[in-house]
Amino acid sequence: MAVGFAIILVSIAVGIWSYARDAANHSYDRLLSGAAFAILERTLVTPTGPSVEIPYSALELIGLAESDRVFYRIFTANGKTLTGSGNLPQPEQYKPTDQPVFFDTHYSGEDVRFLLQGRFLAGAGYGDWVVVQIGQTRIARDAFAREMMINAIALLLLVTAIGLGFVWFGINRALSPLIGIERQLRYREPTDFSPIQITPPREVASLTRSINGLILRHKKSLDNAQAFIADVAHQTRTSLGALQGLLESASRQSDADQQQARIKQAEEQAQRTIRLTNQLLSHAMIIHRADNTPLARKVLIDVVRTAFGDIIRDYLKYDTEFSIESDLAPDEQVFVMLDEIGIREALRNLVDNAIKHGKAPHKIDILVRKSDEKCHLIVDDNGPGIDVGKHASVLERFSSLSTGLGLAIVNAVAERHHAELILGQSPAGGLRVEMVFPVVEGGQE
Amino acid sequence: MRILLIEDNETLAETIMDRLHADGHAIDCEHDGELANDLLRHKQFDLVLMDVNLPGRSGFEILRSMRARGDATPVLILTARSEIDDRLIGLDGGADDYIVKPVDLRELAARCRALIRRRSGVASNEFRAGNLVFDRASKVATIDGRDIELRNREVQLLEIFIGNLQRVLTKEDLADKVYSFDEAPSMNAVEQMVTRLRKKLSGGPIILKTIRGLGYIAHIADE
Repeated sequence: MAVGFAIILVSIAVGIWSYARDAANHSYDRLLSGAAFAILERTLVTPTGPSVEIPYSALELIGLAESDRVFYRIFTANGKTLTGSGNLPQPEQYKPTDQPVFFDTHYSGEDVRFLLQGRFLAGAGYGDWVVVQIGQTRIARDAFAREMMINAIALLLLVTAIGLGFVWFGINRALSPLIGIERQLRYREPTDFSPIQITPPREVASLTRSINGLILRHKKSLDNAQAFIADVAHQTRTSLGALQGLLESASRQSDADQQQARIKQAEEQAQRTIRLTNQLLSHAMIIHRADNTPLARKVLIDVVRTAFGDIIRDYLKYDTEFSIESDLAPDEQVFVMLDEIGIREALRNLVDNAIKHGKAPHKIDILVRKSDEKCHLIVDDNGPGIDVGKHASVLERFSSLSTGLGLAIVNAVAERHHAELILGQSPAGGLRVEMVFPVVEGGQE
Repeated sequence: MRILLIEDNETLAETIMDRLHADGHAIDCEHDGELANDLLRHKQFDLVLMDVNLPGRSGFEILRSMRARGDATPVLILTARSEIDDRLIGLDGGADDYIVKPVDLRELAARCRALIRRRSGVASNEFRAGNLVFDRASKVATIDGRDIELRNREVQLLEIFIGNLQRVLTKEDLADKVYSFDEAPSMNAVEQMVTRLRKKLSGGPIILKTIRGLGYIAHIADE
């Protein structure tokens, strides 16, 4: 910006210089013209030819500029000098005319401005041009131009400075509400989540509201995290406490059978603790990913197939019948905005719940269906199901004693995908979990 | 079988070694990634179990340098990171399987058996699991010493299932591998073939599980 401003200043200065030079020429040229005119008035035809009597006043007029030197020559059209210095420089191809002709040249070691002006003398059988050439060194007029220019630029700088001052003042004034907001934010305690005060003008109010919205979201996220950490602390401590109790009890048992029984219990407790820890981490990961990883456009059935194939491997030792069905045509691609890992975790938890809470032989069926602009992912099991009255509460973390976090994770995944989560009864009398995803436009991947 | 375990948590390493010893395997254990990498350069193992986060050199680095040397020893990754991205890096990088910590030792032992079995018999031509013996050279499979009379295609199918234990195979996968390009089998034919093979394998330890809508997965029943 500074460079641009400097360029503008320089071009203005150049403009002023050319204007000042023109103005100086204009003024001093008038003096030259006046002198030439006065001389030409005194030219006359005598029987011996043209003659001139230079009026003293004419040269005095030019001599007003003290430091300048003056040159003159009066000559006829054929180049005969009547009076003055015979060797003054001439412009190329000069034809005598009664119009004044000015030109600048270097003469006698100085810059000189010359004027040529002619007069046609006629009378007594005589007719010829008489030309007056007057030159004046440029010292006075250049000094005049310089002075004009310096004054003009000084004025320009003054106006610029005043203008910048106004701009600075204006910007400060316009930004002062922002400075107020900045001060409010800078001295804020990290624990302070109160909204910042809205101050006029109106233009800043929407900014303030946005910042307040952000503060609110942060507070909510922090509250969630704190509640979650409290849950985690409680659950893991309880679980590990139980495990430690069982092991202590086992080590004190003198009866070998009793000891075996305690160790068996401890092992089961350890497995519950592992499952709980995995679920806690899975839940934390889903929440974390919701804040950090964008959804990607994917074909739901493909993602479900891949994830399901992977999950099944971990449950081969349980007597379970798995199936995937879809009412889409084999080549029909329905795109949904997905987090693949989220879907995988949701499925894994549903399979895990079905197997943990149900009785063998287990049956887990996945259905993918399409209805206008929606894609449904349905997971049915043949477990004990959940009473309708408890549907809302099981989706919360640690709400029920037995379900653990599984459905809370599924709920978090659904929320993350803006999917509707519906709990119901499966045809086999178990739980049906249905996630309804909005479909995005198809086309190329 | 000779197994190398690379795990820096000594307690976990000990319990895993106990369990695999009990299964009759010979196990070496290394706690440092760099040392393990050196060991792998000089000794041949039937299976490598490795943690990802290791002092010295990460599991992924060890795996990469193994595969770069052309060492095709099966590798099972033990990882504490549950995000799949990491696992995929491992699998793409040439790992044969992964298992997430905390590991269930029974599950780990089963995965090890599956990995070893995928390759077993490739050198000796003989695959054994429980009461099943399958001779790849003579293409004869017996259960309790009785020939189960496999046809050519069923032998091929059995080889594919053994080579992909605990992996989901789609019908298309099977059709591609068993039939030539111009035979263009119907999916029905594949289903019937699997059904016949399953019937012949009944009484043995190999279970061919159908996952409707997805394909098949073969595993070996707990011994």
